[in-house]
Amino acid sequence: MSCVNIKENLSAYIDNELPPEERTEMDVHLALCQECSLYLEELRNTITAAGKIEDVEPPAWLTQKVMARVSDEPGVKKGILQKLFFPLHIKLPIEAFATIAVAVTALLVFRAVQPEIERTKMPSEMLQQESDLMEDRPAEVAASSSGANDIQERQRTMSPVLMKEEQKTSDDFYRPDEAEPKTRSEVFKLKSAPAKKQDKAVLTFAVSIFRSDLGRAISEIEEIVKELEAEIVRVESFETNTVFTVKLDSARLFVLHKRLIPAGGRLAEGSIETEDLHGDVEVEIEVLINH
Amino acid sequence: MKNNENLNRDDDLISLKRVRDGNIDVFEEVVVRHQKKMFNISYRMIGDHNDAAEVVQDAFVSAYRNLNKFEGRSSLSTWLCSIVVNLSRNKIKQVKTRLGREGVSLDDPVDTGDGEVKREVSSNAPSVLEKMEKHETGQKVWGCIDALAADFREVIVLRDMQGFSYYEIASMLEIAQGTVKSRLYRARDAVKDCLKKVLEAVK
Repeated sequence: MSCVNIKENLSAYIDNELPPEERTEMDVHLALCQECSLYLEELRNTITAAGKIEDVEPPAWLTQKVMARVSDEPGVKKGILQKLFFPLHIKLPIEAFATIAVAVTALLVFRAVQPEIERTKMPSEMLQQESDLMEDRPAEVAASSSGANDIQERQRTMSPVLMKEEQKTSDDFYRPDEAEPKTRSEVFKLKSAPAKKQDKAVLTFAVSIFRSDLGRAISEIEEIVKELEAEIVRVESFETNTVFTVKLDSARLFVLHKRLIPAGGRLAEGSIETEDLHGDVEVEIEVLINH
Repeated sequence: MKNNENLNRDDDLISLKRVRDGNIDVFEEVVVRHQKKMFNISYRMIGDHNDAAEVVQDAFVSAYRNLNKFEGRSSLSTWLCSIVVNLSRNKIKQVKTRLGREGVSLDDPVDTGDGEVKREVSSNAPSVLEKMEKHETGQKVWGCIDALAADFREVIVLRDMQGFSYYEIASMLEIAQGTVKSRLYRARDAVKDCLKKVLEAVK
């Protein structure tokens, strides 16, 4: 009995990696050779023992670190917002997005405050109104998931930060309890008459996107806003949609409409005939999340 | 088990398509799905948690950069683990060079091509047997595998610990299937003999 060459094949035999004829030969040999049968047994035990060695767990931070590095890679079109986020590695569910949206709003408002002090409300008042508006909608807020509650909390915690930036133009410190609710400017209320002298256009564009593309939609809207020298006046985030209120020159409405179409946008309310409108108008861009 | 594998394969292909279409977030699913296997291969090859973690990150980044090169002929798992094996080998060489500069490593495997199977251990170091007496069986088995030279340890990790087929191992290591077969045999034979000695020493 030639056992010399057999042993190497035994290893493959255990793995079912022998071609059929060799396998049959092996079966025959094993039936007749005790030594090889014993060797087979020992080899099997060794392999089983190796298989029983427990897996180790990768470190908990590994996924985040990979995603942080991956997001720095070129190739996928990314907006500033995603780049801002990924170092922190927060995914972009609506709740997290709202935080950034408020920050972006704050920065844009800050820039607007300087040249347009008369026309723009004081940031403290705007924040007050935002929180008033949140209180005005208890049903919606209560109905949405706990994520929406986080939005409120984050918006409130954001306000001290916002106020630091606005100290240059206002000595008012925003204290939620003490701030008087000034006459609410209807400019900041959705779909209502304007406080400014010019007409406010009640226009709503609806952009329908998929949840996972929210980040991209945001960056596209951000780009469009920059291109058209517009301002994001406010952002409101709900469970199934997010509403940007954008202020821009009425002459640019057509272009805005055109630019939103590739992003999946269509005009939902109002008319973009510009004859009746002059100067700046306000427009709502509603981003609807599908699943 | 096989049904599971097929389902996972489909999931992978769907995820990849979405990543290629520009959706980075979905890549995270891929990371979560495959990191454990990848980390275990790397850790068992290199022997260091931090180095293994680094290698796995590098592997994912490399995969992300080269997604267009993955044609789906092999499974995503095999492809990712190939990258891990290569990067782990590099890391092992790096570490060896570093140790070489710093001083002698007692555990340097003796890699004479396809020659020595076991590492040579200096007589001052606690012998493999002595080290292993303190540990439980599972760790004793690992101790024997760890004592192998890198090439032989590789195939045991890939086959007996991670379950890849000869064909997959051959493509990952870029060797012939016949080489996989013989290398695996010699590695297992060595572990078997080592275990025998260890278990006897305990008696």
